[in-house]
Formats: sequence, structure tokens, C-alpha cells
Amino acid sequence: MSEQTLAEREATVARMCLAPTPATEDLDTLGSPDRWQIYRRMVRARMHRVCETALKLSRAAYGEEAFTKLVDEWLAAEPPTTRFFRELPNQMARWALSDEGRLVEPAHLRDLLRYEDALWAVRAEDDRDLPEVVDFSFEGVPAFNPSSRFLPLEWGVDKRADDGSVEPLEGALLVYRTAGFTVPCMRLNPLAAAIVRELRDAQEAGRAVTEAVQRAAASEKRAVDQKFIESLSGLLEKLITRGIVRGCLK
Amino acid sequence: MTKAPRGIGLGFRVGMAERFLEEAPEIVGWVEVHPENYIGRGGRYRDYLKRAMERWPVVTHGLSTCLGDTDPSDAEYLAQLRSFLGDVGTPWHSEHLCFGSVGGAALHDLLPLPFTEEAATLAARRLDEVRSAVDVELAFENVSYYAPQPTEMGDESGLEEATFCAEVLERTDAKILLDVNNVYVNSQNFGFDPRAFIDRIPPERVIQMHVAGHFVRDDGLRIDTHGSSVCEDVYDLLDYTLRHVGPVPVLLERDNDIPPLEELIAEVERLDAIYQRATAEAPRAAVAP
Ligand SMILES: [Fe+2]
Repeated sequence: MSEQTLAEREATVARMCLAPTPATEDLDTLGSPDRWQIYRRMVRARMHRVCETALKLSRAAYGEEAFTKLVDEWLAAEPPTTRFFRELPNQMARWALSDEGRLVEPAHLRDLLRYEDALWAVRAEDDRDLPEVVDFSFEGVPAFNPSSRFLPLEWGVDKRADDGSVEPLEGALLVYRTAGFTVPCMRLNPLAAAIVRELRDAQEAGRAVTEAVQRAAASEKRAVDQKFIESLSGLLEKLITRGIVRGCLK
Repeated sequence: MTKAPRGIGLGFRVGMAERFLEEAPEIVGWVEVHPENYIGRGGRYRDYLKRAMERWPVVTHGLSTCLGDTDPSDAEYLAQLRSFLGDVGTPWHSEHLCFGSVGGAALHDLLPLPFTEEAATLAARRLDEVRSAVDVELAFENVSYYAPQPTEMGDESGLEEATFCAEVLERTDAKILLDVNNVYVNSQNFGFDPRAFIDRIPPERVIQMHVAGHFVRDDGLRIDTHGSSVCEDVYDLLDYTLRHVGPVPVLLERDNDIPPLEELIAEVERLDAIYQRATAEAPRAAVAP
């Protein structure tokens, strides 16, 4: 008979599964170490597999061995807290990115991970039961679909050469989900990036589209002239027809 | 869809959803889904679920509210679960008699409980808790396990797990989702008679059954992978169990190495033939919820 309480026993099993190497003491406490190691392998294999699937570009760029070590480190340092299996790669990516000292090579790796993290999250993002909206207008507060992510990155990680190398990015990326459930990526030039950033902030702060546009123009040191208006309406049309902007908040 | 699940159902998985929904095979009487795959999620999964609900009765089977968890219950999730079960219109819901979360860490596996008083008391309490939170009939599923467990269920015949399950049933008004493959896998790994296990489960408490394929390692240990076809012994044990419990809906689980739809349907047909024969001759009518 085990001397441990149930809670102690469960904690021993969790430690045995998540530690970089299982402690002999824990295996002895549980008994039948070979059999318990089956659980360790199953738990870890499942977690590794979902991270490898979701973050395959980052894994390829970082190297398979280094990526495996990264996931191992995550499991030991900050094991998953979500009951939703699909969220594991997002938790892993958040942890990996939380330390500037991690993933320094290659230089675009952190941006690549942010990009894949966004693709994975946007694919599953819940966009049901959203507050009602009215037609888009310049006086209204913009309403984005939550199934999109604005990524102000330094590297154009959405376009990779055959050898995996990428070019520096001017502007930002916008990842969104289509009505057919694909997740494409829009490249935004610096002005478009400023507008999208300001529109998103406007939704947060309850500011009108007009004000967001003025702030974007100011930050990019652009006059609101004919050319600006043309770029703006082209961008807004894309955002609306692609369902990235749903309209304006009621 | 409020029709009751009858006969043989199939575990609804996104990996096979497209063709399955398109062909909607008549022989499949109902489908089972994992709420965790849909709660808080939009996109393709939701679309598939909506289409499945238009065609079949949907029964829910949870993965993460393990009845042996010592962590406090997650009231927020249970509220989400309740609303999901209501939306789907499931006639009952099931979770596993195991643990899966420890100190806030989610291990995403079904980890075995010792067959002790403490575990039985906890599981019974949790069943009552979850039952009142989700407000539908609740069942627990017996799991496969690979490491010998401490027991206080004092039984010489190797039926400690069966006694443990019966003990939990005794302490609650919950039902059991009897996984016949899990009984078989455990019987082979730990050397007991699977039919004696089935005999120990009160038939009127069985609300649903599972069958699946498992993997046999070189050393003979059987692992519940849901990654191959159902083996002959499990078909036989299902026949035996149906004669014990009556016409209780049976679900085929397939999660890994999902074969072409034809192969899955051939398995469903075989299960259906067993089901029809065994239940026509069964002494007991199922207790519908
Ligand atoms: Fe099962």
C-alpha cells in the first residue's frame, strides 16, 4: 500500500512526467518504473508532437534538436495550464518568447515563431457571439474580427526563400481567417501598418475611425491628401471585404 | 437534433469529417464529440460540428474534467461545458475515472487512480459536483492503465478495478460508460477474466459503451492507442457485454492512423451485426435515460 495521499501521488506522477529526467526517488515511490515511464513518454510525445505540427517552420529554422530541447525546457519550467490541447503550442511560444535571451539565432527566428503562433491561434479563434455592428463609417469605432492578428515584425517571415532565409520587413503582417477557414497573410506597407495599428487601438480606446486615420497620418508624417485618401480607401476596402474589419461598434 | 442515440456510433474526428459528412453513412446511428475540441473555438471545427448536428444525434465525451483530479473544480469551465452540452443537446455526458491535471498543470493524458477509498470518495464527490454543474445525466468511463495500482479493494481475483468502479457507482447515482476495449486491455496486462469484470458492473447503470483498437508491444503489453482496428477478442467481449447490459449504444473510437472511411464503416457494420444479434437475444431491455 502506498503511504502517500492521493494528492501527493498525483504530484509525484506529474513530476515524473515533466522533469527533464525523472527522479529515481519518484519512480521508486510509484513502483514499476518501466510501466510509469510509459506514461512519461506518452505525455511528452503528445506535447512535443502538437508543438512540432503547429510550429514546424520555427522548428526547421531552429533545428530539430534545439527545438526538442526547447519544448523539454518549457515542460520543466512552465508546464501547460490549458485544458485545450490546441492551445499548447501557443503557451509554448509565449513562454519561449518571454525571455529575450532565447531563440537569438537565426535573427528572424523570434519573428517566425510569432508568425506561426498567430497562424495557429487565428485558425481556432472564436468569432461567434460577437457584439453587433453597424456599417463601417468614419464617425464610428472600428470593430475587428478577433480571428486576425496584427504583427509588427522586423522580418518578412511570411515569404521564405528555399533555404529558409527571409528579408527584412518594412511595415507589418496581418494574419486573418477567411470564410473558407484558410489563414492567409497580408503584407502591410508602413502607412497601411500605421493605419491598421491605429484602427486596432481605436477599437480598444473607443476612438472614431477619423481620429485613428489622423493619428496614423501624423505618425507617418503624411498629409491627408488625395494620394493618402486613395491608399486609405484601398486598404479599408480590403479589410472590410476580407472580413477583417466587421464594421463599426454599435 | 434531439433523437436518441441508438445502435452503433462513431467518434467524430476532424481528420475524417469531410468525407464522413458528405457521405453520411446510414449505418452510423450517432456520433460522439469531445467538448474541449469545440468550446471557445471558431473556424472549421465549429462548421463541422454544426453539420454533424444536422445529421446525427451528438453525444459528448469529455477529456479534461478528470474525476480523480485533486485540484479544485474549474467552475468557469464547467459553466462553458454546461452551455455547450445544452447547445449540442446531448442526452448525457461522460468523463474519465482517472486524473489529468496536477497543481494547475494539464498533462493531457488519462492517468490511473489507485483503487483506494480515498480515490473512490473523491471520484464520487466530483461526479456529484460535475453532475449538478452540467445538469445532464453524467457517466464515468473506465480507463486503460499500464502500471499496477495500490488497492484497498481487497479482492483476490484481480478484479480490484472492477470493484473500484462498482464502488464509485455505489456512492453516486452516476452512470458508467463501459469501455470494453479498456476492460480487455487491462485484463490482458494484469491477468484477470474480462467477463468477470463485466459481471461485476450493475447492468442497469451502463449508459454507453466504447470499443476501439489497441497496440500490442513486442513484450506483449497492450497499449490503448485507438490507432488500429478492433481485435477479435474485443468483438467477443462486446457480444458478451451486450448480453449482460442490453441494447446500450456502442461507440467506435478511432483517433490515430484513421483509415479510409470504407474501413471504418466496415467495422461499424460488423459491430452493428453483433449488436443486433446480441440485443435481440439479450434478456434485459436497456434503461433509456
Ligand atoms: Fe474509451
